[in-house]
Amino acid sequence: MLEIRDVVLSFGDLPVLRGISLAAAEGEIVCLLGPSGCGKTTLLRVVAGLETPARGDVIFAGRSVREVPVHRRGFGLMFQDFALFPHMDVAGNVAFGLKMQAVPAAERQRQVQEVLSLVGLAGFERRDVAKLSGGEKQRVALARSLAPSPRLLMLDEPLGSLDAALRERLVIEIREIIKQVGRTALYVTHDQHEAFAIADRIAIMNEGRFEQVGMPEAVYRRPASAFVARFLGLNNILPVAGREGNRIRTAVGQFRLEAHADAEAVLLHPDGFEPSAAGSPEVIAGLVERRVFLGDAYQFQLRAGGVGLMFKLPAQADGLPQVGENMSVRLLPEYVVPLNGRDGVNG
Amino acid sequence: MDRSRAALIGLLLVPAVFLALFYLYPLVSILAVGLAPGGQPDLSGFIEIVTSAYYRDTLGFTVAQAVLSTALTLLLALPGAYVFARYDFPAKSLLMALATLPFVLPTVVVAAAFSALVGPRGLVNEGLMAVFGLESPPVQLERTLAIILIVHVFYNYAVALRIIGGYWANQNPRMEEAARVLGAAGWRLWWEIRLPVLRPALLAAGVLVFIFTFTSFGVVLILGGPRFATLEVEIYRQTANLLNLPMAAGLSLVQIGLMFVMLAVYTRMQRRVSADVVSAASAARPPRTRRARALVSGNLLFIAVMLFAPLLALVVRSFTVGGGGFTTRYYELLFTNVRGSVLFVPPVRAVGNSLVFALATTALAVALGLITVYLLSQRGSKWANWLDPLFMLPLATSAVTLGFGYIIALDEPPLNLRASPLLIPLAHTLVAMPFVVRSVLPAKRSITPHLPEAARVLGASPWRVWRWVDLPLISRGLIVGAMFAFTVSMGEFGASLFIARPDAPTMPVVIFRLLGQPGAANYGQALAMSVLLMVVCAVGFILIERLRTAGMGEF
Repeated sequence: MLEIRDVVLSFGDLPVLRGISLAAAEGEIVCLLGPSGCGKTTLLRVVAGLETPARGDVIFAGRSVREVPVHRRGFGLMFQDFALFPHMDVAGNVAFGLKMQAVPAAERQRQVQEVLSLVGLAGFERRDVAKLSGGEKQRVALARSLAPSPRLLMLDEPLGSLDAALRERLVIEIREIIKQVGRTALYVTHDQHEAFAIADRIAIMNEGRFEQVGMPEAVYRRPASAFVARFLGLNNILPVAGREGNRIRTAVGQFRLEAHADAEAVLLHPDGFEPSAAGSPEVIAGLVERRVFLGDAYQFQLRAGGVGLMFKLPAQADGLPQVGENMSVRLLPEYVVPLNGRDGVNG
Repeated sequence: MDRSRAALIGLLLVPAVFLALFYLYPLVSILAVGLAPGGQPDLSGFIEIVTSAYYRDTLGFTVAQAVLSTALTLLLALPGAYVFARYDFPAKSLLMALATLPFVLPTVVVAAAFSALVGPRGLVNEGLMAVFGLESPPVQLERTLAIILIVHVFYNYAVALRIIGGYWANQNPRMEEAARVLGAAGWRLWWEIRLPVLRPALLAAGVLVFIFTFTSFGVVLILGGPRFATLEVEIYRQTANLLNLPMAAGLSLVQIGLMFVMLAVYTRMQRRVSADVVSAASAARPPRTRRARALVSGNLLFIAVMLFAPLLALVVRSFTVGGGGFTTRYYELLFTNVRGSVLFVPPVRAVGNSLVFALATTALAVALGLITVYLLSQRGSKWANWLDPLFMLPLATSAVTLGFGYIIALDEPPLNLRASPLLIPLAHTLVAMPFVVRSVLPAKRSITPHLPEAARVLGASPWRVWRWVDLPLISRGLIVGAMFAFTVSMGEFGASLFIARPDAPTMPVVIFRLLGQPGAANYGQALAMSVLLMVVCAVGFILIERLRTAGMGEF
């Protein structure tokens, strides 16, 4: 449906997009996830037509939109700060796109009501947008971008300015609404939990490039690079000190890699740790530096081989050691993840 | 507690008494002359005035020229505001500051400058006559509505540019992008988004420019000639030329009433404009496309030509009037008391007079302004809400009305100041004090209550809190206010024309008298004196701009 081909863009001397390619299928929600300044919003603006790339193309429904001006693309874009028109009421804002398409007034009104009830704002037509709460503004902005039935919906950190509790609730609602209207969508965020909740597929961006594109589960379980791992809060990254066949040696012990045995760093995924008896070959032994009770689990920091490893263990497990005691753990083999590149490796 | 309350009331009395004696009393006197000419209430004279065709024509012209000037100013300032809000270019803030220069230029200087540019003896006409060998000046702008409108645009362009451009730059740029994504482009973008969004700023700027041009005095008096008269000019003519005080009083009453209404409207709008400001990241970018570059350079060229052509012409002509090349003769003439001149003293004496009056005004305005600011910023004070507009009242009164009020109120017992050298500084202080208050009040209000509290806990007495906490924090605003007071006094024309004694004229009055006389010598001296006054005001302006905090301020 949507295909972004090798898009390059700079602001002055500052390269922002360095050759970005991405495809999204019809009805798919693709999430662009990355730290601020990585170029994800700029990419959205390129697709919308608000920025002109130096190179590359955007193909939609088989045709290039390069020469199509912003107002003729027929895409929807929801801004982080909502950008509601202050001189119009709720209905005026939502109806704006339809008005630009010269939809007759009666039909316009019908569609506005339909979209407003879709986002749960039926009866808000005549309200002043300045007097709405943050969550209500967010719904108006969503309704405004949905009302003209855009062929592609883009959302730029649509929940960024709301508080955490509201975000958690609204992200699920937004996904349901997008799925209900069956739109292809690009969703920009810097919050991994938001991305996991909303996306069919996640594209992780860093410095104008994609680091990894894949299903949320795959990205989380098998991050492709040290950057992705770190960005997702997975910090047990160790350089590979040596290798024999598919066995690699690290500061905390030896592990078997099923593939990519040539990787220069590995992630010891924190979800794969379990307590183990001391002495067996693949056991990691160390000293408990920190133990934090999280309710359903304990967060451990274990110092082993001069490295601090972080992981959680279920709180129900018996006999978990205290701070200052020795501890032995084992890592399930599929949780040893080979990483591309050495950037960000500690040690 | 009671003692501090008494002290506060004592403090309040100072500006209150000043306002009562030198503002309300003259105004009431006008009221008396206008509505009760014989000591008894008698509205027949007033009614006769406001129903006469002559009055109707004067009011009609006053409104019409103000409407035209306002429309023209907004129309020209809108593209400029767009350029300043959307694009980044070298020396942007400097240009914005320079464009504001006319704000402090006295009307007589500006009138002289435009006369030096496009008047019968102006640069343009002289050049055209020389090039084409013409007998008479081809450009006849003096005594036309056109020249009045042009000068009004010169004065108010920057006012509109600042208000609209500042408001525009603060609007969320995503809003316009949202409209474009939703399908708006070209005129629909202007009509559906830009203009409606700018409406508060357009209205505020429009009302302010309307007020300024509605009360236009010097420009119309000097450049318009006898054919054109605003209410202000008519008040002056009725008083000075025809000695028809009841007529002048009647006109003043109408003027006062209209001004209060317009200022009330403006205050409401201005509040909306500043309340609506959301701080968004600046969306200004360097112009990249050819069209953008043309738009930017076109507007900057317009500003430069409009601003500098007349001022440059003024300087050039002050050295070249009368033919025969470069001469400093007119500057030298300023030092002599030519026999048969309209003045009783060498013109240069006016420079000294103006400086002394301006210094006295500055001192008075700063002292009264500080007291007022102190009272207005008392937290939880019940008075602040109605004190604030009260002290702004003099701004709502035209200088001509004020001068006229002084003539009829303060030249006879119980308060006879006719011969007092204080009369001019008193009048100027009324005009200047609101500037001091407006410059200092925002700084004073931005001091969080915790600062003085912290100082008090650390052992500072109320006086030392004021000296070491408040004063340093408001010092910039205070200097700006003082400079405003000084330049306002230097250039003040309307009131001075009424109350300046013949043997102690101010610079603007001298320029006006000289411009009204025939002969190259008088004209040259008027230009030379205008250059001197312009330099003083420009220096004051530069200091103001350098110290003023960024943004629009409260004007």
